[in-house]
Amino acid sequence: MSDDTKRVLKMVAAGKITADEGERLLGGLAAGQSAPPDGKEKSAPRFLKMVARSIDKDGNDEGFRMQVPLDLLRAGIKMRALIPEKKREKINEKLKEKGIEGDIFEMSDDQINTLIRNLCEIEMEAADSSGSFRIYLE
Amino acid sequence: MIWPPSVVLFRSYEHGRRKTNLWLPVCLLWPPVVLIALLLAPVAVPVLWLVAGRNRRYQAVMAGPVLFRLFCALRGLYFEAGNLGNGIRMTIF
Repeated sequence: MSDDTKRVLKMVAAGKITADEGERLLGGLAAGQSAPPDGKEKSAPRFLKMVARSIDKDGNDEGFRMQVPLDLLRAGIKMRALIPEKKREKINEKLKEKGIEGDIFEMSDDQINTLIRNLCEIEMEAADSSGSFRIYLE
Repeated sequence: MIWPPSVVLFRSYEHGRRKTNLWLPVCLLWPPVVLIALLLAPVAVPVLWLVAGRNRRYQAVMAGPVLFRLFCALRGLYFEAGNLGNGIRMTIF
């Protein structure tokens, strides 16, 4: 059993995440560690897309559409190299207080890629009569 | 291989017509920038190493490559805002 699997099981046991969330995380870990049975590699998302539309009182439709390359996220994570050691320790302490264990500054490129690959399952959508908003990865 | 953005496209529309269509070939800037960076690096890196405090030497020297990578990651950024017929659009290739 890998350390990551043990960590997920401990989080479920401690009640920090639900069993369903744990199952999803374990599925994500398995997807990151081995290729799917059909032999096709799960394609990694390349962009974070945001679409918003609003309709004003006169019925005019307006909005915005934005596409952010996920390489920007990777490069942002790489900026951790610029954070001094003392600040890193403080950040890790604060994260630990919030229940996030481990040193986020020691994440390898593979771990970052696995994290981003698993983000593609996340999609956020909200809508009402005055407009709509959607965030997804593609 | 990481490449910096080569073209920035900026377009604006008014009443359904294209008002501005600006292609900025930023790739033309890279050869002189690379040349200047190569000429300055042998001086700048040791100076940064000496000037930065003992605890910040690594950060001072790594700032250039990390920020360059961040800049390169802007390729593919796309933004569009407006309503039917009026608005702006910006794309970085």
